[in-house]
Amino acid sequence: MKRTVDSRAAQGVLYGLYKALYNITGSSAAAVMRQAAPDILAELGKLGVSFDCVDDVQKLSSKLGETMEKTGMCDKMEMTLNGDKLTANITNCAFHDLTKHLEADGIPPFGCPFAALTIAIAEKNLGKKARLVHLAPIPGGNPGDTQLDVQLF
Amino acid sequence: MFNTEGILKKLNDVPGVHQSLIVGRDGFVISHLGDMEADSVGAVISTAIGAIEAMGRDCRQGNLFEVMAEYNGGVVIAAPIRNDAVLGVVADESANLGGVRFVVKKSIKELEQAL
Repeated sequence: MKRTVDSRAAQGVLYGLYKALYNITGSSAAAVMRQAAPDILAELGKLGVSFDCVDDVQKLSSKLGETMEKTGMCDKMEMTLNGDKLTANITNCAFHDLTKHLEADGIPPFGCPFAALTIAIAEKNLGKKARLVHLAPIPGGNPGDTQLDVQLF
Repeated sequence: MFNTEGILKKLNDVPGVHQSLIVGRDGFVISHLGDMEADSVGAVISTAIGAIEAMGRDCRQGNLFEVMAEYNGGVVIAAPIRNDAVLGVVADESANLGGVRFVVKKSIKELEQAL
């Protein structure tokens, strides 16, 4: 039988974890998320979500977008590559309320799973080093519409 | 003008120093020199600096300049480069700690200009 968890409960757990992590490690909390991302990928792999076929940006966009949409993490995720800058546009991010709650407490969105997974897959499958350089709401977009830019090296 | 590779080379030229790296607060390794698992070392050094800074903040001790951890095999020195990066230096037990710390302090000033 499939078990589901109320997303508000999951976000409550994440809120506590993220807040404690930020209080203990400050802006270095992002380094913890960077370390966590490959394990998140591995766990998704155990659920039958494999990113092994990803060897270019188009496949990355398609596979990650499909996974995020199917798991209810957003309504849509699309990526474009301009030079060495990978841009992801996320529609209706499911973590929007959590992000706003954390920001109200002065905590930046270091735990963004979209950014962490994009970086992890880019480094593992595309053979590039990757770093988040921008993460913000899309100007004029609806709440939860977010753009992130990852620089590839 | 200073460059990061040159600064790390000067650090690794200090007797006893065998690894050094510059890592962003996000764990992204900007540059490294010496045989090491740079991504892994960078992540723990970045996180350690964050935790030690939090300790200073909660104990009302002000800004952090440097951390030195002593082990059986030698020392690890870490120092923040402004608010967005960290310098990490690994030295064995033969190193002159005063000499290493002097070069680290000098390197931080140079890295603040280079980054």
